[in-house]
Amino acid sequence: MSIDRSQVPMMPMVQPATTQMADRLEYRRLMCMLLTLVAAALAGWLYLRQASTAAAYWYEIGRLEARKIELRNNIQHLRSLSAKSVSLSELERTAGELGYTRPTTNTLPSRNELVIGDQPSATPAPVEQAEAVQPQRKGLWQRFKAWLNAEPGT
Amino acid sequence: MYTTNGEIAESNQKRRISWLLIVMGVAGLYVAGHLVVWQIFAPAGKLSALASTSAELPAVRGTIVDRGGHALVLSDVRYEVSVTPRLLATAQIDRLIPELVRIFNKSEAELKQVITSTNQAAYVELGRDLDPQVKADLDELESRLLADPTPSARFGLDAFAIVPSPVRVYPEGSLAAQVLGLITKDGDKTGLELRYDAVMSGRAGQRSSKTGSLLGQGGGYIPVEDGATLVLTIDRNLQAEAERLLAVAVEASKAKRGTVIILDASSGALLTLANAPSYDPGAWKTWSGLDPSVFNNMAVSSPFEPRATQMPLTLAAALEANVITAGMTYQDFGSLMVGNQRFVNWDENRTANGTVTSITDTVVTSRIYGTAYIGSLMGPACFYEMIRRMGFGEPTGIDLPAEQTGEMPLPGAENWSLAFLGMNAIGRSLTVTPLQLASAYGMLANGGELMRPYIVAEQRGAETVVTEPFKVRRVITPEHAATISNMLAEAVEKSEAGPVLPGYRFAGFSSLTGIPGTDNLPRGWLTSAYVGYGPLPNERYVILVWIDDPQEVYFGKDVAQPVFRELAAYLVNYMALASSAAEVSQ
Repeated sequence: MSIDRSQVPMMPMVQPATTQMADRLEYRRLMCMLLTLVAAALAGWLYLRQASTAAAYWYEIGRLEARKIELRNNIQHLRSLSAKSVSLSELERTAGELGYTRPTTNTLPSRNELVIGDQPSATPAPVEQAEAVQPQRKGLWQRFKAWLNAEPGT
Repeated sequence: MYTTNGEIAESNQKRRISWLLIVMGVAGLYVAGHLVVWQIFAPAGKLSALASTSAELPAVRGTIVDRGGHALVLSDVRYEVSVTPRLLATAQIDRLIPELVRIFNKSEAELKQVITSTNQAAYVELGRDLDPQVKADLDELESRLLADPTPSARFGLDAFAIVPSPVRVYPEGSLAAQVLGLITKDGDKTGLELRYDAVMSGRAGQRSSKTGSLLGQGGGYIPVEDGATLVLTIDRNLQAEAERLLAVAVEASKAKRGTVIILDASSGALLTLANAPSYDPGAWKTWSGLDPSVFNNMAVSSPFEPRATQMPLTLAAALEANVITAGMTYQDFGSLMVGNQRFVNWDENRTANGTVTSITDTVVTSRIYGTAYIGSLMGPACFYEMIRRMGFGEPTGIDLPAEQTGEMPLPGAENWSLAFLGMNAIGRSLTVTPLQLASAYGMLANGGELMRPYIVAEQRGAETVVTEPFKVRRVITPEHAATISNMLAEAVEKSEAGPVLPGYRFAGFSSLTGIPGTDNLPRGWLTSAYVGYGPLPNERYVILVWIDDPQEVYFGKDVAQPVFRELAAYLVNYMALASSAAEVSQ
């Protein structure tokens, strides 16, 4: 059956190739724009996320830094108190409370003179007694050797 | 060609859209251009001012400790508290005042008056130099207020500002004040605070952030580097004892001031450097009315005539120059002319035929005739070269500021004449600082080597720097040094006071700059000194006592020597030094 072309309105049955190409280009442009928008949004989101994370860390670092300074101040103060507590004036005050007094002169028989002294001690301790007072301490090796050489059963 | 109205309208619409796009494009280009300029070409300062934030992290100033590790100066923190009254409602004030009364130890009326009756726009200082306990109390109050259910109470402390400020504290009070130095409110420094400012200040840290810059550096972090700790050669117990004895002597003799030095002759390390009168560097409110000289470290900045204490040095120089020998004798006529200056013995003992005098007797009886005679035998070139080698006329190089060199007129100078040779040989018409003299005696004590004195043994910072003893030069041989030491020890043993301590030999010599009423010296020229070392034969410690302008008693044996003897005894016990007999037997 043949088509009666005279009854068909003046409209092409198939769109020409140029129109199809234009649609396709329009579609591609739309897609490009969409992709650009998505990429831009993604980049913006990533930037904001990074910036907010960095800001949060920055804030946290600042908080910790302030805490560190505060603790350091406390340490300084404790050091200062500690130094004052062992100062000479404090020691002298404590010694005074315990009944100690400063000697009126330093020109007393010296400590070395008492130890080295030209004069022998009036009552020298017997050797046995001295040994009894200060028994010889044995090291680990000596004790091990003594254990090796010990009679069985001891 | 447009044929219909619709086509014409569509064409106009497209044109309008095109123009809009052009306008938007231009605006977009403008913004983009600016972004490029800001991001890439903008000056760093301009950008950072807009887009960066930074916080400085203050460094803690270093501590100064003695050789035993006891703190002499350290940093602490004090607080300044202020309030902005306009930020406080009446209800909040009523809620806070009872708490503040307890914390600030002020009356309720006083606090209320301060907070309410002042200019509402300004902030009001509630206190400064406040102890950290106040800060702790305020923190505790804040935490309690935050737990308060009343909203207005919660933010009550927002009106308060608590600002920390560093301060220097001195646990030992006035101990070694002139050595340690101080930092004034204006930031001026003295003493070790000045000399070691660079290492003690440390380096402040910084935390910075830069936002918005693509190519610039995105902020950074510079860690804090606290100041170095200085470990001194000073021993606080010796220092305290020296200051105590010196203060007693200065007060008893009604002297103007005085100084004591204890020097380790083998290394040049200073164990004690005491000045009297002194001041408390931590109590600046007590400084008003003090003589400005109390802030000076007299040991390094106050030259004086060494007088008789120069004699052993002159004899040592003559021995070294082979001008005399230890066993030599000479005729002492009691009066001698050198240049146009007459030299008479202190006891004015003159004999027509002269008295046969040995070198030892010259030292033991402090013969002016003999010393001037020996000086003149040496001649100017030899004498001044030897004295210069002993460190006179040049700084010792100690690590303290404001060191003076003293004055030593030299041949060729405008006013110099031959009389100066005799005068200088007996320690007159030249000046030395107490430290120069102690250093020269240290040379005699250690066997003839001049050591550079030092006071900082170690700098403990990011890197530890240890001060090694520095030998400046050898001046005399050990044999000559031993000869002079034995002469000086004999002088001590034959003195009125006798040996310093049973079993211990000390070498020593005293001097007096003029006698009131006889030498026509103006007030302030009289000085009394004693310098010695021991215990022999392995003498190691030099003790110098210098009293300036004593009034009541003034002879060295009466003013300075008792301090020396007490200090020598203390030193022997404190350092557990072996007796001279024990040293010989070893």
